[in-house]
Amino acid sequence: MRRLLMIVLAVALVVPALGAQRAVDQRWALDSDGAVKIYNYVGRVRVVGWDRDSVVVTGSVAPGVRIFGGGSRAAVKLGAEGGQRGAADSAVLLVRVPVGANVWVRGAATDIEIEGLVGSVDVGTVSGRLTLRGSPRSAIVETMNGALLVRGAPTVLRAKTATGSLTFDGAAAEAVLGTVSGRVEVRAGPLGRVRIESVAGDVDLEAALQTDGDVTIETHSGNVDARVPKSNIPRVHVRSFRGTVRVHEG
Amino acid sequence: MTDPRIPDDDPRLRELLARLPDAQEPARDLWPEIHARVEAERVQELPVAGGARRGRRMIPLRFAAAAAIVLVAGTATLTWWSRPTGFPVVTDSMATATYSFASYERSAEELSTLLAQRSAKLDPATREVLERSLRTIEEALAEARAALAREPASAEMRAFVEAAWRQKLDFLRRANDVAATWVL
Repeated sequence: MRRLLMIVLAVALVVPALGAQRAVDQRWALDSDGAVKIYNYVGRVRVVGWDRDSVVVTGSVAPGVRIFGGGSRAAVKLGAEGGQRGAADSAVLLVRVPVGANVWVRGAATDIEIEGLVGSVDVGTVSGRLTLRGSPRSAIVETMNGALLVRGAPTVLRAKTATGSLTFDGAAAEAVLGTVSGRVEVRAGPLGRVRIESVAGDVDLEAALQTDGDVTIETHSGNVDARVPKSNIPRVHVRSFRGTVRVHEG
Repeated sequence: MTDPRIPDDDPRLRELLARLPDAQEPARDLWPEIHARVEAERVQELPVAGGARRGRRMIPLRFAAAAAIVLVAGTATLTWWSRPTGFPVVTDSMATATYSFASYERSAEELSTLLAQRSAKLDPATREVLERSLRTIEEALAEARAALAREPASAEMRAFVEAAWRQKLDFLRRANDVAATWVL
């Protein structure tokens, strides 16, 4: 009986809150290689590439928050506005953009996911999780304490966190991966010219290198464990001020 | 006063001359055009070779010889002064490293000042994350600098200090980016 009462109470609290969310559905024409800027400081943004020359944003926003947007066929800017001060002011957005678009996203307490883009991607959030899936031409992805996951094969990648963990599962011709104290994990490959830096985070690498690839790992106090094919070992350069270093066949 | 060129027997001409004003502005002001032409002609491109030859002739040979003696003597004195004497000699690479640390320091100071101004807008949780990360980097930098002070000739220690500076600057740049775009 007590359990039933709790459920009724929870439903009574949640339903009005859901009802207060307003649906979003806006669209703009955009060239296939146009630029898109997206702002959302609280909530979630998912950007998905599609084969149409338009930007469509759908989702929901909290009361008091609205979606602004506009621009030209070359560039569209959109985002949530109206004073996002906490979780109650969130916006949850699904933004479809041309697959070749150049996308820029900024968030704060915002989870951000990017999928299926081949242009350039520049994404930053603070405490939210950041996930990039796909193979953009170039990708800059940065968080502070949110976890960062890159899965795919960007040609050029720059991925940074502060305390958040960083996981790269894929290949890249050139990459710079860095954290302050977050753990770095790199899987798969083949990797071209890659630099991994962390002040206090551990680095765990298990990947093959391209024929002309080389990997440099540098930490201050983080431990390094690198497992690469035997022939790749001479091209893995590791330096740690006082962390333990292990480079071996794997 | 009368003009001797005007005959006395021409009263009409004298009357007309008397009516003329003392000064008459030209219908078209020519001065700006003249001034521009004069100015344009003041700076002229000189043939490089000819100019150089003229310049060379202006230094008397005895002065050139004296300058050469002073240069040779000065270089010799400096070489003698900088001979190994038991103290560490500042090499080019070390001078460069010192210089680059100074430039890192200046940049870090500027970015820190900017961040201090901007971070007032940040929420406490984010500020705490930034401060904690900065402390981690500062500790690493201090440790690496202390190690370099113990082994000033160590290229490896210098590389650790440089790496810590690079990380500090990169982090400050990112923190400023966060603080500048923060609207909560």
